[in-house]
This record gives sequence, structure tokens and C-alpha cells, in this order.
Amino acid sequence: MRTIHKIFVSLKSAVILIAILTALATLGTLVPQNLDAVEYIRRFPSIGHLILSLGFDDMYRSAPFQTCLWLLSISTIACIITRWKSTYRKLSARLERASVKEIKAYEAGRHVSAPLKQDWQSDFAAVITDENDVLIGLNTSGKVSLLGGMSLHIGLLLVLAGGLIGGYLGVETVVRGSKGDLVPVAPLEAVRAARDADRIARVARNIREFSPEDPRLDKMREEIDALHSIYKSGLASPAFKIAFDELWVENYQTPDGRGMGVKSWNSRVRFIDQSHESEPVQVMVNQPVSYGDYTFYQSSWNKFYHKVSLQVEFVGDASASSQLAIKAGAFPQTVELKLKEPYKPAWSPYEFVMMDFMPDFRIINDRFVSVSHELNNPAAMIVAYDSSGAVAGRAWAFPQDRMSMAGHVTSMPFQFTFISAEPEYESGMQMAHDPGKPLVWVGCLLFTLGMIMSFYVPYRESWLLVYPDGKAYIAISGNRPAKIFADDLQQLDRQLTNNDKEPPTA
Amino acid sequence: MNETLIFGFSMVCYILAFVGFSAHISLNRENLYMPSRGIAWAGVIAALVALILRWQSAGHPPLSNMYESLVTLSTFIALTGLIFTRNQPLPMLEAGTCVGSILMFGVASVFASDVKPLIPALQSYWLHLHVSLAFVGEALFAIAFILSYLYCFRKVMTSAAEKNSSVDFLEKAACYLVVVGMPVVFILSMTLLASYLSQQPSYSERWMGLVWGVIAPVSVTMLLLMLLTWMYRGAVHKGVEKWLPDADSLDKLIYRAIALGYPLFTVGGLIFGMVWANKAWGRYWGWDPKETWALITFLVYSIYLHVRLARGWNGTWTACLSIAGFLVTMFTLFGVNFLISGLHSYIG
Repeated sequence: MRTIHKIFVSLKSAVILIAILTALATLGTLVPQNLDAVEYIRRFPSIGHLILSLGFDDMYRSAPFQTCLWLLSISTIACIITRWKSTYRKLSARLERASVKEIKAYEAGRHVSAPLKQDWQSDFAAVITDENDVLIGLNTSGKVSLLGGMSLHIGLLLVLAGGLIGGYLGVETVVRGSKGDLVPVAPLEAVRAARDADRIARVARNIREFSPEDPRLDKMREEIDALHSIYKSGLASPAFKIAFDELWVENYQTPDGRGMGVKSWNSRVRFIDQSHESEPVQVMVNQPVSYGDYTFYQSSWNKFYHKVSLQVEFVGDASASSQLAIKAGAFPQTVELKLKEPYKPAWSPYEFVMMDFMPDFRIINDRFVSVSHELNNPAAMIVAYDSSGAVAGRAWAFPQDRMSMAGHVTSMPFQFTFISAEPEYESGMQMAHDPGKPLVWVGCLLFTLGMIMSFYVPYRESWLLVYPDGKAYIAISGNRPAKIFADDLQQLDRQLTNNDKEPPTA
Repeated sequence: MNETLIFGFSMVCYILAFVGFSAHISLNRENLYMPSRGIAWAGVIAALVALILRWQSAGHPPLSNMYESLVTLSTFIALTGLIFTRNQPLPMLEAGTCVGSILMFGVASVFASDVKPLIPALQSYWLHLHVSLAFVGEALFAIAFILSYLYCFRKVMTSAAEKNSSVDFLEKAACYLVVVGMPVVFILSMTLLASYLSQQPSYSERWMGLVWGVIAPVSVTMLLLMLLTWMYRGAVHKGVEKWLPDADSLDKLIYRAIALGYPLFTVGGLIFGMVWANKAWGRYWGWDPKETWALITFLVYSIYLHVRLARGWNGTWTACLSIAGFLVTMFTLFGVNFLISGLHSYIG
């Protein structure tokens, strides 16, 4: 027991723990986190198994990292207790505990340059006489500095405790909604169950990758099912619902009115529970809103185009046109297609489905991809189905000025030209509950105060020894280098002797 | 007036100040010190004016991208160096801070300097507090780094000049490693950066600026300096004895710089960062690479303070820790932005 106590009190252990934490944190940024097991084996063929078995694929929740945090917490507690003893000794009865030998050992000290003035005792807060009849006088300043180290370590402990509480009891998830949506928010226990289910599922996936018959998998499956059913029942009877009333994006504009990027994205929402409906509140980036057990943060947004207007021309010579009875004079026609929703116009023998829409497409590595949410270079992919449900042809729609491309990628008797698209917004709100946060903030405050007290408030002890033969010795100690006290020592000498002359060096 | 021109003027001042400090040390001309300091102050004031002009034209503090961050840090390093030496002239440190500012500005010039409006996540007063305070802390770490380098340089010169030097073999090896290794590390990391940028379409031509504006001149200068130092080591030793404080005082100065920088970095870089992250992303800590490396920086300097204050370590090994701390700080600034993607990637 004594040895364990010694280990935790030792500064060497604390430094070693900090060094291990530093190394593990560094590894955590170098090894990609939270990938699937197979990905680690593929990327790191020689050490992939080691990464997974040590849990370094989820470093900051891994057993080695968590153990280090716990040990550091215990070491910090031990440090606080030890510090308290020494701080208490300095704060209380400092003069009584001092000895002539100790005072004479201070680097900033010397004999006074002239006889002491008559009323020198009035300059000291306290004076005592030791067993050899030496008078010892003491003045202290900046006592608060002594509490700096304590405050700093208590702060660190609270931050660690808050972090651990948050890690075990906190939840974080994202809710998404478009204008008009009413999204249920499950109670805290249900969201915690979903979080735990995700964690177990991840571990199970890793186990299954290497040993599909592992007996632990069945138990894990049962646990996951049980947790999922808690989450589902939570969604069935939610804590409250969020009504997404309005979502909008503001853009920066150049003086000539062109867009210069996103200025802000915003949601106006209402919180509705069984007995109460809140007033509409605006959630913005850096401006969160709290309701119930959760706080909501505007963390992302998505702009998509659900409805697209297209002009349709009949192309007589296209491959699929031969058998169709279509009045060519009835064209052009205009159609409005919704993403992935079939639509059959009266003039068409086919049912059209807009399978994909890209507002700003590029061809990268022979693939069509969208590089932004803006309608800079739109492209829509339309698939035609005949009455039997078989694919009759595919076509790409582009704006008028790029229609020359469409001929190369269309296998339908129709040519589609993009006219317009109506943007719709989806809001992504981070939803969080962290009961450890108050502790963390108090910890940060104490840590900051501790640093200010330790590093910026000088603690000073001014000593005077008056021997029975009348000789006097002064010294200054504190938490600053002795060189800094040289001027103070000179000033103390002047104050006690009324001698303005430069004193001889010690 | 275009702020780029003013930054240019400021760089010229730093170069002149560096030449002035070098001449003051090598030619032993006392009367060159104050004019060099005056020129360095002129450079700092010009850079501050340029930063204010940029702030005014952009509508936000110049801390929102890599270019702005580096010119601000460059200015902070020069300013902190001058304030740090206001009561105790240290021409070698002052010359070092001039070099640090010039190099930082040289690297900044590779990145796009056009003013862009702030993305939503950066529109917060926490941007001012978090980044600026962290940069003041980092500037003080830079001062500690230069002092640590000078400490090792002093040890190397002492051990080379005195046959029966008290410096033991391991310490001597560590000092040599620092003195020769740091320029090599700098050149290697800049080469890596140039190689990375050359593969990015947006930096197609700019990376050459890094090669010809930073890597080549630094390589030539360092080689020349090392050669001259070796050839005239007797004279250099005398200069070091005269213009550098003794090893003990240097060690105390390193501690002083770290003791000032550590609380500022912790409050600005970590605590204000946590408060802002909590407001913007809904959690105060997410193990994002930038956050994690800021924590690693904090931990390395915490080890420095623990071993120095509680275990009484000082000298070469704490100087090496201070150097390690600054290397981690620089990795947090550059390496994380370019090598590891995360939530803070916008600043690259």
C-alpha cells in the first residue's frame, strides 16, 4: 500500500504518465480512427492486427488511453493532498516553523549595512524569539500565489472528471430536417441506448472480420437488439418533436451582386412536447439553443434540388424512336420531374424517372460528380421505362448552351434541356447532452486562476534576524529567482536602517 | 495603401536589423545596437499598421487563413522579442527573432493573400480571443526556442574552446545535435512542404517561391555560417562570451519565456478553443487532430515545467525539452493543416 502511495505521489510517475499520454495522443492522430477492421488490415498489413487488438482504431476510448487518464487522475489527487500539506505549513505558522539556518541559506540575503533603526519592529507583521535569543521578523506578500499550484491541480482534476463523466453519460448525435418536417427526439435513455448499440456493433464487426464463429457475437447481437428496441420505443414516444419551420442560407455578395460564398446558415424551429409548444427560435452557427435535456447547434446544412423543370424535344432519329407513334409537332414540351419519383406525361409512351441531379457537375476520372450546391453547371439523369417496367433508354439533360454534349450520352427519342430547379434546404443540427460540462468549465476556471496565481503573482518572504549582540541579517525568499530580489533586498536594508547609501555587497 | 507593400517594408527592416545586430556582435561595435533595435521596432510598427489595414479592409481580424495567421505570428514573434529584451539587451536573441519573423513571412508568401469573407464557423468573437492569445503564447515559445538554441550553441562553443570542459559527453552530443540538427530539420520540413504544395493544383507555381525564397537562401546561409563558425571558432567563442549571458542566465530566460507563454497558450489555445468549440460544434473536445496536437504541445511544456520546478532539472535537457515543445508547436501549425485533415482544415 505504501509503495503504491509512493508511486502515485511521485512526480516521476506523473511525468511518465503525461509522456505516455502524449505518445498515445500522437498515435491517435497518425493512425486513422474508427475505420472498419478490414481497412486497417489493408492499409497496415504488418501492424493492422496489433492496432485492432490494442484498440488503437478508437484510441481515445481504448483501454490503454483510458487507463492513463484514470491513473493521471489518481496521481493528481495524490499531488493535491501532498501539496495541501506543504501549502498549509507555509500559510499557517510560517514564522514558528522557520529556523535561522534556513533563513541564512537563502541566496538573496546579507547583513544590514548600518545599525537598525529604533522602531524596526513596527515594520514587521510578526516577530518571534528563538531558543538562541535570536529575534526573527517576517513579512509576507502574495500569499495567494501559494494556492496557485493547488488551484491548478484541482482544476485539472475537475476537467478530467468532467471529461470522464461526459464520456460515459454524454450523448451526441445529429438531427436533420427540411422545411415542414416534424422530427421526433428520443428521450436521453433511448439515445444513450443507441450510442451503446453503435459502440457494441463496431466491436462486433471487428470480431466478425477475424473470427465469424466467435461465441461472443451472439451475446453482442442480443445486447444490440435489446438496445435498439429501447431506442425504437424512445422514438415511438419521443421526449419532444422539432418542427423545422424555415431554413435559409445567406450569402456574401460582391458589389455587383455576385455570390461570394456562404455567410450563414440558419434554421427557425419550434420544440413541441405533449403539453407545450415553444415559440419559434432561430438556431445559427455559434448560436446554439437548449431545450429539454439537449442543446442544439447548427452544424451543417445541405442544399438539394428535388424538383427540376426540363424542356423536351422529340428526336426522330434516336435508336429507340422507330416504333413510337409520337406527334413531332407537339414539341417542345415542358415537364417537371421530382427526384426518384416516376412521372408519365400524356404525350409520352414512357414513364420518366429523374435518377440523379447534379447542380455543378464535372467529369472527373470518367465519372460525373457535383462539386458544389450551386446551379453553376447543372445536369440531370433521366431514365425512361416502358409499360413492362423495362428500361427503354437513358438521357442526360444540360442547360441550352451545353446541349451539344447530350447527343453523346442519350439513348432515347427525346432530348431534355434543363430550364430551372427549385432549391430546398436540409438543416443538420448537432444534438448534445453532456452532464460533465459544468465540471469542465469550473475546472478550466480553477486551472486558469491557478496559472495566474502561480506564474504571475510573486510570493515574497522578507526576513530579519537580530542576534543578541545587535548584529542583523536580512533575506528575501519566494517563488522568483534570487536575482530578482536584489533590488528588494536593498530597499529592505534602507527601510530598516534609514541608510540611503549604497550598501556593500554581501 | 496596399498592406502587402507595408509588409514588404517591414521585412526589409527586419533584414536590416538582423544585419545590424550581426555587425554589432561580430565587429564588436557597441554603437550599432540601438539603431538596429530602432530599425526592428520600425519593422514591427509597419507590420502592425499593415495588419490593422488588412483587418479594416476585410472586416475581420487577420487570423482566418494560413497567410494571415503566419504574418500575424511573424509580427508577434518580432514584437515579443523586442519587449522581452527591453531591460536586458540580448542582440543574439533579437537577431534570432528577426530571422524567425523573416522566415515566417517567407513561408506565408506561398499562400494566397487575397481577402476572403469569413465562413460561418469563424464568425465569432472567440476567433479574436482564441487565435490571438494562442499566437502570443506561441511567439513566447519561439523566444524560448531561440534562447534554447543559443544555450546549446554556447555549450558547443565552450566545449570546443575548453579542453577540460565540464560538459559531459551526452550533453555535448545533444547540444551538437540541436545546433546542427535544427537547421537541417527546418530545411527538410520546408522541402516536404514544397513537395506537398507542388502536388496541389492551387499552388502550381507558388511552391517555387518557397524553394527560391526560403529553402535555397536558408541552406546557403546556414552552410556559410557553419563553415565560418568552425573556421573562426576562437573569435566566435569570444563573441559568445561577450554577447551571450552565461548558461545559467540563459536557462532562467528560457524558463521565463515559457512561464509567460504557457498560461497564455493554455488559456488561448486550449481553454478558449474548448469554449468556442462547445458553442459552434456542440462539444468542447472532439479529438480533432488540431485539438489533439494543441494538447500535445501543452503536455510537452507541462513536462518541462514539472521537471524544472519540481525535480530541479535545468540546463541542456530542459533546453532540449523547450526545443521539442516548439517543434510540436510548429507541427500543430503546419503539419496538422497539411498532413492530417480535420475540422480545422479551413485554415490551410
